[in-house]
Amino acid sequence: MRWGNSGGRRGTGPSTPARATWAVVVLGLAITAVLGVLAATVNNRNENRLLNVQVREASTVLASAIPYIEGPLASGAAIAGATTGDVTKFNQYMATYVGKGQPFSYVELCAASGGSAQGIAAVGHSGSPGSSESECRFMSGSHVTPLVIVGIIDGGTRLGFNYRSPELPARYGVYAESPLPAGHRVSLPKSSAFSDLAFAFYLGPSQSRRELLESTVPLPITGRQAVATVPIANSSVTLVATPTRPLGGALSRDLALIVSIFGVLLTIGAAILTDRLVKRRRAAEDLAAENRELYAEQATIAASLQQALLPQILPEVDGLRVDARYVPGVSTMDIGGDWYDLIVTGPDRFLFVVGDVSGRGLRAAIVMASLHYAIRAYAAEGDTPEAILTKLNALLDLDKDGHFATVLCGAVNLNEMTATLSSAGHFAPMMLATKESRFIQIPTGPPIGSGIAGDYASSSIPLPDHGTLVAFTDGLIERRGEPIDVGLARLLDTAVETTGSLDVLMDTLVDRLLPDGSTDDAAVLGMRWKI
Amino acid sequence: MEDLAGRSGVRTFVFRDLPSAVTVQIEGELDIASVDGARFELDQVPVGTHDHVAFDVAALDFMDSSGLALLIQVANRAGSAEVRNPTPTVRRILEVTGLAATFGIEEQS
Repeated sequence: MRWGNSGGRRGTGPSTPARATWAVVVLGLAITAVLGVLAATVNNRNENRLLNVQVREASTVLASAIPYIEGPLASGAAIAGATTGDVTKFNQYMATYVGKGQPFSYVELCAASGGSAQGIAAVGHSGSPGSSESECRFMSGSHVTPLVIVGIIDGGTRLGFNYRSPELPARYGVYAESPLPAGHRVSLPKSSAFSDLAFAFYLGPSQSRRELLESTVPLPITGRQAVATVPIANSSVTLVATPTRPLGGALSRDLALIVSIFGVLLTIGAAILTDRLVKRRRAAEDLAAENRELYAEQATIAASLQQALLPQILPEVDGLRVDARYVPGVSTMDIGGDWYDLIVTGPDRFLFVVGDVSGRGLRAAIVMASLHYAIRAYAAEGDTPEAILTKLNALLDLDKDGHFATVLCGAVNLNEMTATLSSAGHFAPMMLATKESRFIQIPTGPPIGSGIAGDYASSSIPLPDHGTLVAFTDGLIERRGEPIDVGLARLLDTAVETTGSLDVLMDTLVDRLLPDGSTDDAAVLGMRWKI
Repeated sequence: MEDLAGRSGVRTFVFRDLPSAVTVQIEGELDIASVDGARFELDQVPVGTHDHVAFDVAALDFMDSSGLALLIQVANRAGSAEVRNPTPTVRRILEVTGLAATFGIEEQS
């Protein structure tokens, strides 16, 4: 198993952002853009709305100022009419409305007689160079409204008005002039409700310079603006307003920017996080895949090893039938350490082995292989079973190799009809014969490699003319929660009951004795002679 | 005295009650899955050739070859060893593997 960082293994280096990261960036920026545009749009609409509201209010204020112009003039004309042109009365009345800070800078009473009219009284100083005749000419003309705006006169410094009583014929009329501020410039007091706006007032519907009445800022007015037209007498005043600061407040104006910045930062953060996570996951997946491969490889090696060591084809000996079964344990990919072997040592003579290495896995399989081949070497040199076990014991060390093994070794001579058996911690074999079937009693030495002191002895038994020897490992008889003796009895009973050929016996033993899902592997070797 | 949680089904208690006597109490199932945990516990109490180790296996429900390997290893390190209160299963395993005498168990025929 490999532990460690293999993040750059598959070609995507740590500096290349993952595809998912780009997607997050694009998505994040898109959302930010949308939100930013949304905020800007909302702010824009809001500003426009507030501007229009304020302009409407300003128009209302403007319209409410009209009576302050028309009222005095109408009253003056009425007084003149009532006093039949009493100059003193007229002057007296009008004097309060003329002068600095007053609506008018000049007021003239016009009297009509016959087809002409002329001024008979005046208050203030006239700014127009014309004579009273020209000023009072309006008395003979047609009037749509009692108050008529003459226009901007005197080089743009004054606004002229005519007032003529509505009832006909009109005897008296008033000519008035209002001052326009110098340079057409006024300023709103800071406490004014409209202090957020800048205004320009024009006479009439157009916004031409010639018709400018007054403004609070230099012209032209650019940017966001609203226009309102207030009808006055025969004309109108067009008011143009523009905000001088954000009407909805600075936050509303800045919101789009704040949202954008925040969105970009968030996007960057999310992108970095996504990148890290994707890379980490990829590294983990790569590592997992690698581990799976390595593990599978190891399992394959172990399985191959085991397959190679368990001979499918057993050597032939005259007058002997041999058969064997190996059933691996269910659980994992780990293999067990059971094995069997049959070695021909001469005509009518052979050695048989059944062994069980402790634990599972590749190491156990390797130990099994070592023992398997060592036994063959010793057998080739003609060693007896107990000599073989003694020598084997010197090969293995539980502390160093991590495993011990139980081994049953037997030398069978079909000429002399004897079997010499020796065991290193392993079950004795079962002998099946017509007269008697039993487990053979043999002395047991310590398991191979256990490090426990002890000798290996052997016992020789005579063989009946016909019989079957069955050697096995504990996987065949052991079940969890059950005493071993029950399993041994089951084995003997099943073997005794079964009739037929040797491979029928082998199959039956495996079928009947092995529980489903057993995790331990089992090996069984059967030898039947003098068939 | 420490206890390895029964994650893998074995609980091992090791205590030294006399200068040269160590008792190892094993409960549950000592098999290939749980043996490493038990070995870890046993490694905490070093055992030497002057020690006698007693394995109390009254509550040991199951033991496989890996478990037996652990017992053998500890017994080899100690001067002497015994298995106390063996269940029939443990007794038979020791008898079959020829280790009954090593662990102070009298063979029952």
